[in-house]
Amino acid sequence: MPRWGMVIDLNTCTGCGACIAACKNENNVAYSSPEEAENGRALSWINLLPRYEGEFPNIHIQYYPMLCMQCDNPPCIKVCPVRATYKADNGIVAQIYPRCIGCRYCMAACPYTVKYFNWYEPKWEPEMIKSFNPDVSLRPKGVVEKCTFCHHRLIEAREEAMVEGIEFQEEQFVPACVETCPARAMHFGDLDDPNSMVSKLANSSRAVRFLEDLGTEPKVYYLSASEKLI
Amino acid sequence: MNLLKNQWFLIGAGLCGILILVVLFLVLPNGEVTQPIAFNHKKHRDNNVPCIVCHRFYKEEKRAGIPPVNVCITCHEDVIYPTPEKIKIQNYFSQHKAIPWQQVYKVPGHVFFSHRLHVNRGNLACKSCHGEVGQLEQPVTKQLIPLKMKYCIDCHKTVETIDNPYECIRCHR
Repeated sequence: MPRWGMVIDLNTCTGCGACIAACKNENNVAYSSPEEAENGRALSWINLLPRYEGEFPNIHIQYYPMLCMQCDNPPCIKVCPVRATYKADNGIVAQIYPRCIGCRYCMAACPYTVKYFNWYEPKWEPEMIKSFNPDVSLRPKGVVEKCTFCHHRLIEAREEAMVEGIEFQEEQFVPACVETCPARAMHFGDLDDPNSMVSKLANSSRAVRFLEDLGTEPKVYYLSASEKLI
Repeated sequence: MNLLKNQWFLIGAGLCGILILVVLFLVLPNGEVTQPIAFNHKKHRDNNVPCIVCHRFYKEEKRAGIPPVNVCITCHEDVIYPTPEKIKIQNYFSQHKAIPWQQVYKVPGHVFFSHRLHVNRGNLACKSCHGEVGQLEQPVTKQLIPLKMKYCIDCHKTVETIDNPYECIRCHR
């Protein structure tokens, strides 16, 4: 069984935010008002974490796309009292919305703060109601949600391969953010396959992971010119 | 307070309450729907019309599809032997209206079911989940097999699936 992972090249990433927009559209993530965002209650499965270096005008800005790290040893599943979040066989950390009771223990346990709580009833512009992705459910108020590596796309790709009578190829499964990235800074694939682009990049000397010393074994790698991440 | 001591008032109130309950029981829906056309599945099957003629997508799409009016009109165009149901179909067709079929077999919004997966990979017959719909002479108004999670799990326990049958995100995403 493949072990899905992602590599983000920070030297190539321009911080354009296309991945955020693609993710919101793909996963029916609700839009938030400026007031809600000010309270830290905005929903966005990918965030750009900025870091500023130097003094104006010689300033250098680096953006870190932060999404669920799909840890191999996830702290969030250990605290969930109802097993609404668990690690699937293919390594993706799943969140089952109808089972979630909204206690937010997982949000507190996640060291990367990439789980989001639905504080309000989800709302969209009326024109957008017909443009939902039918493969992803609409989350109600009071449940926690997060990035799933677009797991529904894996299911779709497998089904389509089966209907067409061809063998499923790993390249057929690409999350929306990776597909959209105009700078080709994001790579996705099987970390266990030694021939895949992702595993080669993940094993390169530039590859680092966030908060590795916690032992969470995240499956999202960052390629950075500087050796240390914040 | 005097009113509450009056036994006739209490008896009257009690009778009214029972009457309201009876009316509610009769009026409230009991899960059955009314179909716009008295469709006879058995008759169609006996005339060698396979399921795919009307439910066109069940092999290739996630949904099976309910027949639009132009599928019905291909066979029921004739005016030589008009029946009330045929006239209804012809009216819908001439007015460019869709037949307001009521969906009976549906799952909640957080459940994702795929027909093509179950038909192609699982080699399931329609009746495995839909019951003997093909033998019905009356239109389908309720699920012959109630589609609950237990029904899915009971089947998945016994068959070999692509991956773990208990993988929650397969259906709840």
